[in-house]
Amino acid sequence: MAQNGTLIEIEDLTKIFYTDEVETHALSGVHLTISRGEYLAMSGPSGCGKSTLLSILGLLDTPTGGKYLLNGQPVENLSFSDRSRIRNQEIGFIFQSFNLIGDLTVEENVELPLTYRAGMASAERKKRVKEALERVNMAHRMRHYPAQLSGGQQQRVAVARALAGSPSILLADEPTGNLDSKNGEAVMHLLADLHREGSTICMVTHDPRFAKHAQREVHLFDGKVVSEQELVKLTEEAEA
Amino acid sequence: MKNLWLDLRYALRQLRINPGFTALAVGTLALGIAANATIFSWINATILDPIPGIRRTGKMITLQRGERSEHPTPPFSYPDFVDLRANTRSLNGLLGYHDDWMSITGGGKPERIYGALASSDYFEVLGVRPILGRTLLPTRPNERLAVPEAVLGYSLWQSHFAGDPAIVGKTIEINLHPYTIVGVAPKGFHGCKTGLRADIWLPLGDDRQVWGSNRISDRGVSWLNVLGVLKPGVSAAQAANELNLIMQQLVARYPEAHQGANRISTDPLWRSPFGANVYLYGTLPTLLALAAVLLLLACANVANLLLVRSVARRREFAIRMSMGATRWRLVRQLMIENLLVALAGGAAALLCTVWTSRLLAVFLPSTTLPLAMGASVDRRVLVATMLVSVLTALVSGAVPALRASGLSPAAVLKDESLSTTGGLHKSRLSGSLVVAQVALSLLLLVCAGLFVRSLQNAQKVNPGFDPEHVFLVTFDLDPMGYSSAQGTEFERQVMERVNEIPGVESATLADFSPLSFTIHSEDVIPEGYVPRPHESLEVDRGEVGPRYLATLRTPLLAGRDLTWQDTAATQRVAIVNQAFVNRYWSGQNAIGKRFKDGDVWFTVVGVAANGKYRRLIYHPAPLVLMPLLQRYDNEVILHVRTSGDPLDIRPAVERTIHELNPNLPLYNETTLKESMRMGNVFERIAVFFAASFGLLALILAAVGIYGVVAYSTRQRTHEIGIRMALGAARADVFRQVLVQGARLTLAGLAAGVAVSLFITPFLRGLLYGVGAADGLTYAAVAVILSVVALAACFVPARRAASIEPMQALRTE
Repeated sequence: MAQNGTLIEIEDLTKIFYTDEVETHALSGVHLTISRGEYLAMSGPSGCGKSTLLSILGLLDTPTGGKYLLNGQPVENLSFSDRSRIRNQEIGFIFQSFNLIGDLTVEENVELPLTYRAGMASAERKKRVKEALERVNMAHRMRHYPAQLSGGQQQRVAVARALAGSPSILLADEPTGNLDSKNGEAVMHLLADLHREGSTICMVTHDPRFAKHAQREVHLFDGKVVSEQELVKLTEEAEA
Repeated sequence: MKNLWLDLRYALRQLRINPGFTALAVGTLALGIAANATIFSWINATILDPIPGIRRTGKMITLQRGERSEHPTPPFSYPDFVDLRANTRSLNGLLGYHDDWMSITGGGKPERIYGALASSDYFEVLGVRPILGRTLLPTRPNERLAVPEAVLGYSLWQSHFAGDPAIVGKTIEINLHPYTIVGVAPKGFHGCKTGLRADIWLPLGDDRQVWGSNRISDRGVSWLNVLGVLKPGVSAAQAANELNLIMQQLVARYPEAHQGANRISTDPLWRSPFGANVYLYGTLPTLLALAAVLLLLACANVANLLLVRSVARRREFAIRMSMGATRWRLVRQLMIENLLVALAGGAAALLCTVWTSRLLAVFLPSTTLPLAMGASVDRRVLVATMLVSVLTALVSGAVPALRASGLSPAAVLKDESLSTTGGLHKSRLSGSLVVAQVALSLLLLVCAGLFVRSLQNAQKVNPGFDPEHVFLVTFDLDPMGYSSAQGTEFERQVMERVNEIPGVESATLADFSPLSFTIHSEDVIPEGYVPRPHESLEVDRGEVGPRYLATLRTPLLAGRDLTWQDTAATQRVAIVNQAFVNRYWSGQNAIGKRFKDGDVWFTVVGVAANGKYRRLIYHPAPLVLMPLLQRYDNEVILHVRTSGDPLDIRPAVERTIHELNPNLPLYNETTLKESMRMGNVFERIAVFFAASFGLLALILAAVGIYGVVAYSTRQRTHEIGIRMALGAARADVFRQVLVQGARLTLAGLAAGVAVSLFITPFLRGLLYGVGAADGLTYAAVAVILSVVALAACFVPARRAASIEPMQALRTE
């Protein structure tokens, strides 16, 4: 897949959580670049900061320090409403626990991010929803509620929802974590297909089998990006 | 049994460890139950116990003759009463009585008391046994004669004679005549007129001695109220039929004494037109219905609280079920908790009702009427309140208990279904309860609004006189031993001298004051008028002094006001009002025409504008005003129009009257404006309570909406996180929560309007100048309710919008 320039660039990103008098350094000076059309996997042991990094990449959270450029624009200090707007237009989320809304049908769930986009006509929304569901082979379940679907089907709907807004990047947080291996593989194939069609994907996973689907793998350990060799060494030291 | 005890202990512990929930639920139910208990205590004291101190009033009927009226005069003459009593076969007993003011004399200043002249079997028919001595029964052979015997009321015995146990046989002086006390009536017995208290009973034959009348032998003078007791198996209608047959024979035999309408109708005591119940039996059940709606609202609120709480206790229930608890056992446990809450609410309500039951008396303005409308918390109120509490527990707790016990323990214990958030049916029940709350609130607020508008309209009505700057004082010359001539002269002098007091614009006497239930009515025969068959010729009648119209500032439409020259030595004259002219001499010049009252013809010298003399909401009735100087009345009310504050003139007026007779007691010194508050007292009671219930309903609805929206928002925190992750701005979340509340409110408003349009037509009889479907009231209520509902949603909406997305997504 051709690289079409830098989509995300972060420099010296830090995130510190304060609880009472305890400071927890979730991220410590992370540098990362993601190019358009790239399929990146972030892995690392539990608590290494990968979900925190993903939240900051998705503008769900703000960094304590450092720079974050999205599409060349600094986004680390935007207002809540600007972050909402960018999240809605540029980012598509795929969660481990699908996070579909039980009261809404499949169609309504997929349409949801489009309803927050000002000025989009209803017909346009319906068209995009249909296309997104067709891409994940769930168009025939439009009228169903999430509870009427299997886990694999729910995650495909979640992927369709992430795609419907034509985002610049799909952020997937352990997308197979709640699925059996067969459905997990199916979802990974779906992401691979999307990547082949041009989508930029950043996926958090701790499963090396699924990380292999990505073009590039970034390892995190104690809030820092490390090489694979460093990761092995640090893990062994920690276990020792 | 042991399990029940365990459940009870567990329930008590649950309530103790959740003081917030317990206080809110108990307080909410207490409000609703107290509203019902208060109104019920009044119904208990009036409709259910129309004449206190008497059991089994259900078989008793009061008799009315002629056209039915809300304010009938005593309908029977003594001879007619005796004939009815002698010939009826459908009644077990028939009593007659006439009550009015009299005075205990013989001491210093006379003490004014309200008493009754009663037929000899009065106490026996009522089933009242004296606690000391005997009743009037032995006077029956001499019922027409003046037998100087008296039965004291319990309160008079206590207040005037300090409960002297040896009172029987002692002498008391009534209106200057000695009476031997033969007995004391039991505590709580006030006579048989609803809402009015008599303190002494004398034989009927004492009419001349007490009031100087000679009505006992005159078949043409109606002065007795009559009450009968139905024989077992006889209906009131059957009794009325029989009494009418007897009456027809009397009318045929004595036609001169029975002109006008003579048809006898009966009423059960609870809605007797003789007394205060006639004004209450329509209003109080309506208020009870409104209170019941308020209680339903409170139940809906508590049901919602229980639903919320049951969600929080799902794991506890699942564990209990997994350990073998049946659904019935869980329901029982929850219902015991609900019952404890409701009983605690009932107990709090009872405490509150001890105070609120007395509010009925608070509404009664200063009046000359011997009102006795004291309600209290007695055994019946206690039992009813406890029963309502149990019912409340069932209504508010049954559905939440069934819901809570209907869960799947496996699913709850696994705590699954994390993949989706929100449940399709999760909050539907809560939402339905809120819709019901808004609907019921709207109903209560509409009723309150209609009552308020009705009272406003009544108060805006021109009463036909100027109530400002008028001082009133009452005196009674009978106990002072005045003859008619002496009394007339005394009254003339009072009017003359009071008119000379600086600051007095005009002063006159009358035997009534407007809108205080003191005006009388009388049958008159207007000259040239041909009545329809059985048409009542009863009109309002007042005896008034010179310049009455000028003093009251009632417009004179034709002719002249009464003057000092209208005395016993001159032609009998009268003033009639426009309603009288319209009814009897429509299109004719009334001046110079005559009407007959008894055997006397009165010539009309003036036509007054219509006024309101009984109740503001009544249409003006025909009225005749006769000169007091021509028709002496011993008990009169002095009307003094002043240039300044009317109460400032009080010392000067008292001094002036006492210069004429230093021992003359003066009663009920007040202003006309205060006195006429009696004229809309029942409307004000209805407005106060309907408005209070409406306000409480508004608060309950606001709390209900807030609770459900806040709870639902908290339940959907995760969903809100998802929405934010997908790009929802804070404004979107805020709007979403508001829209949720607005949808519930709109549904409630729609349902409420439909219910109200169905219910409010039943209030028509209680409304004045406003339709039951008054658009302005509905619109105002809808706007108020909408604003309050949105305000209730504001806090949860703002809280939801301020959640950080990551924090929301982590919430399960």
